[in-house]
Amino acid sequence: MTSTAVPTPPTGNSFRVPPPSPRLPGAPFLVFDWLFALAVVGVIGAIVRIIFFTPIEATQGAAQKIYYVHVPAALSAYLALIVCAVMSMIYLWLREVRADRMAESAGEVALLFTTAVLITGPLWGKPIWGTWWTWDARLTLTLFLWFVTAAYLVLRGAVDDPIMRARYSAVLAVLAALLIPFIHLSVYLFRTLHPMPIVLKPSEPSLPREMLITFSVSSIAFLFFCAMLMRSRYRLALLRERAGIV
Amino acid sequence: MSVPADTRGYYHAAYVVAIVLYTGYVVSLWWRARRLNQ
Repeated sequence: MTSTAVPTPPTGNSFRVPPPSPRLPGAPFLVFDWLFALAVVGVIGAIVRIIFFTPIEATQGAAQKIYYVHVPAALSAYLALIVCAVMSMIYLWLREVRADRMAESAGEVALLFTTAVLITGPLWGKPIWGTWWTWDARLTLTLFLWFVTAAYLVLRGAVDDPIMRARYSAVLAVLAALLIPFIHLSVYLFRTLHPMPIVLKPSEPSLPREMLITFSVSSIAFLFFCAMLMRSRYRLALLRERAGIV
Repeated sequence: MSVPADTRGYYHAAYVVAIVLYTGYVVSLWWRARRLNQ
């Protein structure tokens, strides 16, 4: 009786080519819809009001109008980070994968808006304070928040195991959100160059009526845009999951 | 009342940067979704 060597498939650490992902026709149109278009129209409308229908402030000049994009970006970053932290807590509690997907989406949007805050802030500070940057509590804590949010996304990209990735990043997201009250109250707790809130404070807003209306319109438009970005990013995450990309 | 210094350059720069940033992110979402098409 003769024996023949039967070739066996490679095992162990051999490199495996993943199967091709299924095509998802019309994927971009599943990510964006009419509600997203409405949010974009809202932001454009707010910018038109800021540019053409809002008076220029007497002492700061045109640079004061940066306020209407800087503060709504900060509020949107807070919103996205709070969503990220709440969804992370839900994941840690229920182990619900959809909550992890939502946290991931909100974390990415939070980094976008924190970046906008850190760029528009110095562009406002330079003509008013005479310097691009100062290491006061509000600015330093915001920069620290940016690094923690970036670390959250880097961590997600670095861990291969989906369960460990979701668990580690959820803990980091909850810790990052703890910075928000410190950032908001830092102007009261420390002596800072950054001005105190003129709208989001216990007493009456200190803005003239026309500027207050513009600020309110801009804040609502940006918060809605932020919510729609998180929704679109979540839909993209679901499509990636359907395509087998975890 | 003093005339405010001309700070329009900073104002325009801030809005241009913000628009580029947000548009770039939307395009990145579109691009990532488009790759699932192919």
